[in-house]
Amino acid sequence: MCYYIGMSFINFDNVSFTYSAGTQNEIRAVKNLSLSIEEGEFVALVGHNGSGKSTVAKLMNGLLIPRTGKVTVNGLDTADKKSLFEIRKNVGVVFQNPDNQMVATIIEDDVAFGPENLGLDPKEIRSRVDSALKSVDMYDYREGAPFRLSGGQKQRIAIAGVLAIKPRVMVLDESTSMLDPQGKKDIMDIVLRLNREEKMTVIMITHFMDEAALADKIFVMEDGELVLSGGKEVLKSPRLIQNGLGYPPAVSLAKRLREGGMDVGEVYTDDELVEEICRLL
Amino acid sequence: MSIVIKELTHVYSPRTPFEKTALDKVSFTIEDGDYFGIIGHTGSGKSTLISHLNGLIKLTGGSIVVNGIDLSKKYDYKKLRSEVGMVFQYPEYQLFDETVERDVAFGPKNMGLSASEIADRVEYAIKLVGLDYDKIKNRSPFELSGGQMRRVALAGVLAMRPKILVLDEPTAGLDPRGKKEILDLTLKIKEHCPTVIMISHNMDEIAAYCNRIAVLGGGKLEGVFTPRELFGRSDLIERMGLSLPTAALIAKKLRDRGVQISASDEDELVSAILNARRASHA
Repeated sequence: MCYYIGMSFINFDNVSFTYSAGTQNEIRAVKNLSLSIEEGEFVALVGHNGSGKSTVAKLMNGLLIPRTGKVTVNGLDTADKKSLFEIRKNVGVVFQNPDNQMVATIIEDDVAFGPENLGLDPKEIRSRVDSALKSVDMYDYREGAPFRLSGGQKQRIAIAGVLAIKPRVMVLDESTSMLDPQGKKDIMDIVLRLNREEKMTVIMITHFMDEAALADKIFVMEDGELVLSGGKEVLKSPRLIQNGLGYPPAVSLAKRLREGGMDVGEVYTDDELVEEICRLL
Repeated sequence: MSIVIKELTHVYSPRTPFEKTALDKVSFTIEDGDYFGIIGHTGSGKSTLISHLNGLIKLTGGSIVVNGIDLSKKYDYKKLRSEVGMVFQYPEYQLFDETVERDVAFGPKNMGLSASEIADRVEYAIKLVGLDYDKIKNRSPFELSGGQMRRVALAGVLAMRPKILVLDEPTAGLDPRGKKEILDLTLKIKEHCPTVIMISHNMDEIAAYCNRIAVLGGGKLEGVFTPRELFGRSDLIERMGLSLPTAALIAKKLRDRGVQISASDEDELVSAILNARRASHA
């Protein structure tokens, strides 16, 4: 595996993590993982169930500390307790189940939880909460109760809660897996906009290969190890068939059209495929 | 044998400021042997609907008859619940016992069956979900992988030998291979349990496995369709906040660009595009 050592924003240097170490239930979730993520990138991390993806998410902001190796965020070591506060200001995580992330009974209080804990001035908190809620298009709901929202709306509140901390990196750990199609699309649109327009670094952990096809850089994990990394070309590696993840739909359709004699160029998303077919017809 | 639902209405917290109509005069029939899909956005009433089918929610408006059991009259809950097996979202969270064998035996035990009948059913159900009975029966369900745990949870329901199996988002959270394995397993189960009802947000799954599909929106039934009828109606899909299956979506995007193509699955899409290509170069 290649090693990236330098001043990347997030750096994993030969990181391993084991759950229940030293017991008979020991699970080596992450093994000798090295990777680096630059500021402003849109990264997809994919892998089968149990491949160690969520452990990587938790290692990124010091929720878990590597057993061996080192994780740094903006040059700060996650194993250094004094740096944790600064690291968590930089890396926000949105998890799978929105119900597990709500801390308050009023939506705007929930979004204010992060900035309040940063000890900010009340005026600054108000302005951050308002702009975070507007950014996910939930401002009109600010005085309502989270439990009355749909899953997709709750997940948007969870994203607003992260935005209000103004992190430089947002990690989404299967954040669309419990949502209906519209909710899923809303979250993807927000995340793409944050990355493209506001230059936020986004790390998307997912099983959906169509979501991975939107990323600039793709990491593929199997059994705790990083087995593929690179640009979009990773999405046509036969390894994705062997490990059961499969290709993004546009990649497999393009492949079948080529087998049928059509000279389809390189495409990864549905829109790229449609564009290419229109060109050829 | 069938499920006949007439004018089903359900209101949460009636006569309070929180009153909410979850189902509004919903009527349709699920036939014996259907692989029946139920789709709709979050909050459309899907879960309220299926919770009626085994009496988890008491019928308050309209009527439901499940395999001859009339839920609007006094009926035997135990009988209904052994007819209708319910598998909730993330069913592995409901595993609780020390061994797989004991966990799967919980349902049949509560049905008051004999020890030998219970043992037979446990073995039958664990084998039916594709697990190695001898290897797994004495293990703790909590040591298993996510996919295995979901199968054990499914076995716990199948051990009651239901005639109708209701699956709420059976593939949520699984990786692509795990999803396919569970869905293929439902086809095998269907040989033993003839009627399967599935809620899913994944339209590719609905299109590939269901023969009929009910669409719910805001507590009302929009209709019951075959996959071809349903996914030919992109207006309805869009209005309901749903999405098209991949092949139908790409066909629609091509139509929006002036390419006259329709397809309901990947095979049809590929041949339609290749035909259009030949026609345009003829």
